[in-house]
Amino acid sequence: MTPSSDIISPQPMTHGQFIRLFLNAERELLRYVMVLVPNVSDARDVVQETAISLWQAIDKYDPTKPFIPWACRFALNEARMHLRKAARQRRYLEEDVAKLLSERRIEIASSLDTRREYLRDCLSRLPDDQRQIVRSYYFDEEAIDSLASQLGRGTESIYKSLQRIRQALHQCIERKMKAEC
Amino acid sequence: MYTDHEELIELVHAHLDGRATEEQAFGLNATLKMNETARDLYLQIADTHSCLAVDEGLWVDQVNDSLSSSVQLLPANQPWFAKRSLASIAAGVVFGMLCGSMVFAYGMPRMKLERQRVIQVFKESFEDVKVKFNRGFPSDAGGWSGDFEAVVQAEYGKSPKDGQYMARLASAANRKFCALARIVDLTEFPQISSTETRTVEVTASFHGMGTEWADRNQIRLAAFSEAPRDVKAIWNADSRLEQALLHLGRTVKMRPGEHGWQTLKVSMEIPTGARSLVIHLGAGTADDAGPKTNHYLDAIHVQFVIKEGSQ
Repeated sequence: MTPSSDIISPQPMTHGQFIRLFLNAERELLRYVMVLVPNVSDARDVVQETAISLWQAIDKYDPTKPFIPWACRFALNEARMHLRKAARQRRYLEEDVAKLLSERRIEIASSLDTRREYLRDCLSRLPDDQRQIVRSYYFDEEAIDSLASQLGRGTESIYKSLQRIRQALHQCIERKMKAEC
Repeated sequence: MYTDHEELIELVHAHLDGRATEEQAFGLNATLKMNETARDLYLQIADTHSCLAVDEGLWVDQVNDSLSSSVQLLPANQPWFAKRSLASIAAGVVFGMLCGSMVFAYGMPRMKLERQRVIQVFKESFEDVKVKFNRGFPSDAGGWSGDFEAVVQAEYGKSPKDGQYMARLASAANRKFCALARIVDLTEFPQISSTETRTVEVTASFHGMGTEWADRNQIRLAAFSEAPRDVKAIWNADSRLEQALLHLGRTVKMRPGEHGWQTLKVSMEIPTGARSLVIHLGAGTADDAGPKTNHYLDAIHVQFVIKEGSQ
């Protein structure tokens, strides 16, 4: 046996393996992208583009390393391309800001994961009516107009409610983070 | 640049909702470029925004798995959280790539797969002090029955969760676990079509006496094909679980000495052919060696969510 015979050549990833990897990562990718592209529909488009880029570059992936951080680099590129296209509307994050945020996100990733754990508990403590609004907006993806009409309120009032509820969640998470210290 | 913390928070929210003006977006970008604290704040708020949209687990019953023991007895259904849009998108993307066509991939994500309507079944906060409660398991549909002791206002430092009153439960002499149950006659509600599913969502709040012993609180749901008046005999027999079309429950332990109301939520898709639905709410000391104590129950909300599965 020659020494080189112990080295196993990496096998090309099959379609099935890639699909499994991607499906396991796609929620984290969408979570990552939505920080830079907050509209869920746009963010999904970015994740779809990311899937294509990932597949095209999959032979460069080192399977001994975690997939999600590698995939996030592609997602950042796709998010930046999306922001570049949208730049003329001047209402989005600038590309270099997105890059800065992405770098900082890596540094505080564990803290964000802790906050995510606290979010579950904070959400359960919301009054039912507030929880329902958040659920309708985020989980059921109800449009603000439709939500406003269901609740007999104006769209501005719903936006304000959402903002207050998210702020309440933020404060609740902050309290728990401080208590942990 | 925004230096005022509150103003910055408001701006981040406006940006996340897609409502920031050009001027505001310019200010936000400038602030985020210059200020790491602002970047952290943005990331925290935006990540919460992302998680709310992406993490379906947040919307499943708020139960700490490490403290809970499931008493799910028959195969769980796929309740209203069976939303597979992202996985479908991903599969669509990959499928689309492999087929050399992205039409399918782009078509999938924007489909609104389900419509839903909500029917309130009842809300109970025990505000009617004159109402009579029977002992034991209910004999028919309608009222509560069980280990009810009294409708009370705030007492022993415990205030109602909802309204002015709450129910105080006391278990029978030979049991530490106390419970209230109610049967819902499903024929009293509109029938659903063959393309629809009906899920019952039950929320209830429990409060123990705050001893140093851990309490456990439980919601159980069971669907039977029998008429309400025939359910009691089944329930009291050992074979009740085999006779139920579907039966699930959730028990959550509180930490020893933990005070306050604990709100549980359980949902179950009601199987085709169900005639009666049992809602069973129980509480007791988690440790068999612990004392027998009273428990309070309040703010019970039961609703049906009817979903249409077709597009």
